[in-house]
Amino acid sequence: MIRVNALVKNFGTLRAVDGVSFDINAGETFGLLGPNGAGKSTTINMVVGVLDPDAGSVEIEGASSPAQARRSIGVAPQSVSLYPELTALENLRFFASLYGYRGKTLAERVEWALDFAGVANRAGDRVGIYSGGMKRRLNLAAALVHEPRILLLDEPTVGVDPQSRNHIFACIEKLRADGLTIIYTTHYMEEAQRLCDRVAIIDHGRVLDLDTVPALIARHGGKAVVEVVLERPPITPVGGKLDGTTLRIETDDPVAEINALYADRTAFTAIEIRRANLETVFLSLTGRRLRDD
Amino acid sequence: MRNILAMAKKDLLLLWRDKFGVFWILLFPLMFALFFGSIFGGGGDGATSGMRVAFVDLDNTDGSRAFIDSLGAKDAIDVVTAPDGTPWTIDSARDAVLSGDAVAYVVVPEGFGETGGIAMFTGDPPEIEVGVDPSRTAEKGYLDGLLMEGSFRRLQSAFSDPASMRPDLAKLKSDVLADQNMSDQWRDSLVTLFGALDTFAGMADEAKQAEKAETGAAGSPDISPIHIRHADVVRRSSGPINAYEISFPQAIVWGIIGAAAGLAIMLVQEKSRGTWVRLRLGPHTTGHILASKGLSCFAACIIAITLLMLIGHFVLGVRVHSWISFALAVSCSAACFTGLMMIFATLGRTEQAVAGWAWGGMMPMAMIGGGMVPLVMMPSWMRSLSNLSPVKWSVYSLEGAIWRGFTIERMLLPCAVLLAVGLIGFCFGMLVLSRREG
Repeated sequence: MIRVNALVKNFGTLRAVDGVSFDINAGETFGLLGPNGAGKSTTINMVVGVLDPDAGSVEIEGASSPAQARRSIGVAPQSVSLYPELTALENLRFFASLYGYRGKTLAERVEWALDFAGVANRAGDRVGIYSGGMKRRLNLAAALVHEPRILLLDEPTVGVDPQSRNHIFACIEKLRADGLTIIYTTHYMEEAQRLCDRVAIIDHGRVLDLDTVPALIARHGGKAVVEVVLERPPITPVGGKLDGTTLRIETDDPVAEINALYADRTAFTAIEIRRANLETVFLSLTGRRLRDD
Repeated sequence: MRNILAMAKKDLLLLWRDKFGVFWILLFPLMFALFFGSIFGGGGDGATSGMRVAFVDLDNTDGSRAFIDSLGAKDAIDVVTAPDGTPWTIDSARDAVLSGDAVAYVVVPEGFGETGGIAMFTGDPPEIEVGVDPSRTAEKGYLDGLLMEGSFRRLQSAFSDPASMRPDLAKLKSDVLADQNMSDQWRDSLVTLFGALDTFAGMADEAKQAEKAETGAAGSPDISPIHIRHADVVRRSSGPINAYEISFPQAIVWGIIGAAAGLAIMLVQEKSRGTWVRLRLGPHTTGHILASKGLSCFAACIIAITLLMLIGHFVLGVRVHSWISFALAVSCSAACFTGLMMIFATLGRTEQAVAGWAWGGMMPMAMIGGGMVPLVMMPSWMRSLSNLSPVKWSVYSLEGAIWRGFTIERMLLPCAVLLAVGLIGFCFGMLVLSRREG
């Protein structure tokens, strides 16, 4: 559905995007995961045609130019891209009207978007007085008001309270279930892990690896770690690394290791299993944490 | 085209919701028109609006009172009276000037009325003291001219009534004969002059009496160095010019400037808010978006002018000489400032930068173009410089339509200048902004 081929973008001497390539299938939720400044938003802007690449190409639904596929794309930019002086109703009516909606169809779409954002009861209020979470939800609804087949979400949960974040997650999961193709950029690995079918890990303008989350973890995350705090130092030697009374065991099967400890009647006060995640993957690929910046 | 209209409509709604913008587009121009309209002589209460002058009448004769009354009858002078209604003294009149209650005071000396206005021939005319507010020195010369005119009017009056002039001549003649400091030659000359004038007065009085007996009315000889006829240079179909008609063209231009600056800022605001990205992603080109900005600016200018003129017409009695010319002037002015809006929108990438460029650029245009001070009050070099300001051509075309009574042919030059500036500005802005968007 979307084919991105060797995109390059320079800003002066800075190479913001350096040969990014990926394919996205219809109905897939595709994550671009990387720290701030990694080149995610620049890539997105080139995908939707707001920025012209210095090299490379983008193909959307067979169209060789993003401009030809604009009707089928909805974008929720990183900043809240709404008119604060207008009401939620006026904002949505305006954006829907740009896509040719009129009369009853327009009213239906606006009503749907207001419900989707959870602001129907405050549709007549100016957006400027909305809370941050309400603005974010409306920002997402404005991207969907014209029924796009492809949705690009650029860091949709930045600066959002937990309640609104959960609302946004629920909305995205529903859209995903409805078969919408979603490109999701974030620097929150737990979001990518929860929402995305596949994730491209991007840093310094390059895709470091791209796959499903389990595959990425399997490839770069290493083994799970079982950490046990013992009641007393063991008399007989045990497997794993012992640091005082703390025992660390790296294993592919943490449950089997815990069963073995029970079987040996090893007395312990606490036990923790740490599985590899995307944070581990990013650390493994780049040598630094996602939120080092 | 529908999208252009939708975007332009949205911009107008945003502009209307912006209280700061509405102030500059509507309230400030209206305040400007009211303020300058009042200064130019509006006021609406029928009160005089001339230079406020306190007259100290030390002579207190029919002659001095007639002199003061003749000056007070002029539109240019407003005779002010003391707050308690008593006659001014020199001290109280000076205090009135110092406190700003009067622009100037004039002292009419004792003996002023006795000379009948012909004392100048003796070389010893009455001395009139004038004190002018130091902050109004520009009006000092103007007041001197008015006083001189009033004095000559007294002389003219004396010659118009020969019988009343004869006692004054007799007194002057006896004063001259009694003056020991005067040379004999000069004394002889004056005595001869007064004798001749007395003879003239006698003959003129006889002629006047004869004319009265013949026609039943006493004619008066038209004794004046020149006869001035004030012609109305304004082509009006009815009534005199309203002062607000003079101040409204300038006020309208301020409204247009406010609209253009507001829209230029709004264009950059779209980018800082991120809504520009949404607009770019719509099913239209960048050219369409920019065209909608131009359309909204043009419409905002037209709406601002319409609202101002509605208030001007129905509340302040502003009349338009030719509605066709007015429509032409309004359209061309709106087009001109739409072009300027596009130029200013290219000059910065932040709202602050564009606001600075827009107001910083259009203020000097207004200053030299007659948007603040009428062109007639400017020195000639600045009037020449004003030709470079679109504000001058806009004010000129609007004045032409409202009260100068321009024909369509005379409207062509200012309108052509305005259209050219608008077209160049719009094309330049479209080019730069489109290229910037890649």
